[in-house]
Amino acid sequence: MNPNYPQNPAWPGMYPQMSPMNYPGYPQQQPSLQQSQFPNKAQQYQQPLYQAPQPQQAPPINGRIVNSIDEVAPNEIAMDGTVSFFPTRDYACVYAKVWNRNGNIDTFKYVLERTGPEVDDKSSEPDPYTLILQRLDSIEEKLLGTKSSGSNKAKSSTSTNTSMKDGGSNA
Amino acid sequence: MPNLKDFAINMISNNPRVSRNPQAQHMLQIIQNGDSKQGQQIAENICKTYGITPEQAVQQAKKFFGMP
Repeated sequence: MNPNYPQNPAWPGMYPQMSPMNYPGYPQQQPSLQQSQFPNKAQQYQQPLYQAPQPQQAPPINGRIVNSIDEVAPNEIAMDGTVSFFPTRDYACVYAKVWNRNGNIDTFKYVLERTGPEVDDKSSEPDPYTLILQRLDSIEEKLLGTKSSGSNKAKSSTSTNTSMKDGGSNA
Repeated sequence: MPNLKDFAINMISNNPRVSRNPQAQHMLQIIQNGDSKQGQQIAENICKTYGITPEQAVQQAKKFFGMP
């Protein structure tokens, strides 16, 4: 393709008016008045009548997943004023790096914070049935404890009596 | 007669990659003001960040522009 030759805007890559009539040595034919006033349909369809609006694409985010922030080289950080993001492989934090006005790189660290409903707190609470059982168990323990302590008291009182008896016999 | 420096600055500032870049705008402002001390400081910081000396940076720039 000759770069000096004017391009046809309707068909990129095609030279305008490329027909046997335009080759050198071929007699040129002037278009008639009717042709110039009323262009044929093929010429009409070459002109785009309506151009659909192009949806604006969001600018891409620079960066990559890293094992450690130390492995990020300075040339990985864009110098076009945008921030480059480097999430760690376990997604525990995200590092943001950007060139500042003084020719240095500023680094920011975003740490993970879980959001949403706190399911753990609700699941940690016992259900009412378990609560009733626990209270029943505690009552049972108290009752058994009083019984056993009562028997212990009885035993201890018996033993005191015996010792007193023994002591008394000894004395 | 237009100054060559003004012509270069005008050409650079009209570049959309520069006009949308706040850092580049700042650098351009330093060049326009003729603040060589601050420009040298920024250049040294960039070289230090890249881990090269200013002399190495000059050599790379000459190679990039095809200068002897």
